[in-house]
Amino acid sequence: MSLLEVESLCAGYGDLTIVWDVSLKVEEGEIAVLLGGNGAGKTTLIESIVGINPPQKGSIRFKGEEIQRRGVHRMAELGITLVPQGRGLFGSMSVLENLYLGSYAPIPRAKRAESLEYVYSLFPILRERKTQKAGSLSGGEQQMLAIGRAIMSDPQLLILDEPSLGLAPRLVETVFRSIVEIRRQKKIGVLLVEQNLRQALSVADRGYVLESGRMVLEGRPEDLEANEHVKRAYLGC
Amino acid sequence: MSTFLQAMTNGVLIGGVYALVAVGLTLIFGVMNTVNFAQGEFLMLGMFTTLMLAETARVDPYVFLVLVAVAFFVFGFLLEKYLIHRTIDRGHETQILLTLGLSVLFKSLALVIWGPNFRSAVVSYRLKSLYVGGVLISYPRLLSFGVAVVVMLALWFFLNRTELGRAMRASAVNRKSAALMGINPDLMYGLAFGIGIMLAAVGGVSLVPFYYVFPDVGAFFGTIAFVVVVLGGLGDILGAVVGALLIGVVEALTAQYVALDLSHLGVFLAFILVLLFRPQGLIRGKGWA
Repeated sequence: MSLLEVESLCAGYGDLTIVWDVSLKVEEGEIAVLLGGNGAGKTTLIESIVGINPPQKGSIRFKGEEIQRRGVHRMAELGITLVPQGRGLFGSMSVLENLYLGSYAPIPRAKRAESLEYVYSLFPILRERKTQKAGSLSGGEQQMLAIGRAIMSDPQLLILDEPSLGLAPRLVETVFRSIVEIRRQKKIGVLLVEQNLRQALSVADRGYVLESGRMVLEGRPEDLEANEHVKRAYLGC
Repeated sequence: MSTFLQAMTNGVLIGGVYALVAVGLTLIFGVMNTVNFAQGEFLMLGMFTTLMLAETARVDPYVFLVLVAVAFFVFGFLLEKYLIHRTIDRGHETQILLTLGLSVLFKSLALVIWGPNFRSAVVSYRLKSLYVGGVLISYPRLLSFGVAVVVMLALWFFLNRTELGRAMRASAVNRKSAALMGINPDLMYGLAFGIGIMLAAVGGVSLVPFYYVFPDVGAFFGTIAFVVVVLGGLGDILGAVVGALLIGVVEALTAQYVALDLSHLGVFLAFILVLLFRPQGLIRGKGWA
């Protein structure tokens, strides 16, 4: 039984379908990468999985249990956390308050102090910045806070929607390294949505390529990297 | 000088009630993105309820402060759950029609039940005042201001120091992220509306010892609340408190130095000036104290 299993999912808005018949899975303790260019439907797919925009068709199973009819606010207690594109921080609230909000659901709240120490050990800068407003942090710090806040909910499945967007290369590396670190220490499943193909594949155990709302390729990262189509379309060689 | 201080004092004291009604309005707007046009009518209902209870039981209106507060919180919560909630994802037009409709309904109901007459509660301290440094401080107005201060401090504590209050602020800042944290948006809407209504009703209770009670009383306080909320910046609680005190003072000074019946002119003049020069609100944009 996979941690996350998405089967023949169609998603979109109103009468408009954007993602067609997509299947993917994430196993416990692995990093799966969902690749695709702008407008491929990555965010639509992810938002459909976490219930922000419920699927039009298909099934979503988390640890064998159907979850597609649950509301977004039930995801945290199930153990699914999304770091949304653009980070979705509570900008006018302090860093510490953002982290506390990450552990709002009852189960993670019981482990709040412990999780907070773990987040500070991953990103020591957040401890220094804890009384500052989230909106006043630099882009890199904001991304660390967004990931830290997600970790506060002690997830079993961590979904990250383009965490490298708008970050300098050095910071992208820090973010990716922290994701690998979290996976190693917490043994959780990670679904990483990226355009940053080479770096994403370098940390992945499994890769998917979404184009115009359809899954065109899936496989081991080294196979994807060697794929002629991927090379031409995404790596520019 | 002493007339100036007197006017300032009167303005600040009535500003407490304005703050209660306006903070309720801005809280509802911040969390639900809904403008409650019936806010003044909830104050009116709070006044009538208190007056009726006090007359029946022949005790001081303040005895019922907590009871009325709790009752209106529940009333607001249920009203949101079964009525307002249906309009949350619709446009502002639908919400305006609904809350405007509620305001007409409540006014008419009050007219049918209690009649159009001006009523007032009989309290022993109605005309009593304290005399401090050349300024007369009306005792019931001081009490009303005291209630406003205590309620504001309690609200501040709730929003900043409790799990639920923090969740509510988070929902106001970013609804989608808040839901991802496990915060149930429907619960937050109900709470925000319940608390918003409760604040108006508490303002109503504190008015009963020194203000006339009549079906149209909400219109005035509701309008003032809108002015205050826009002054303070939509959704900004601290802004609403500052705006309320400012409007109270402007009103009292206009009444003192221009003409008693032109006091509203001063209020709306200040309003227009702020709209012209600081349309984002007096303190800042949307933010939470």
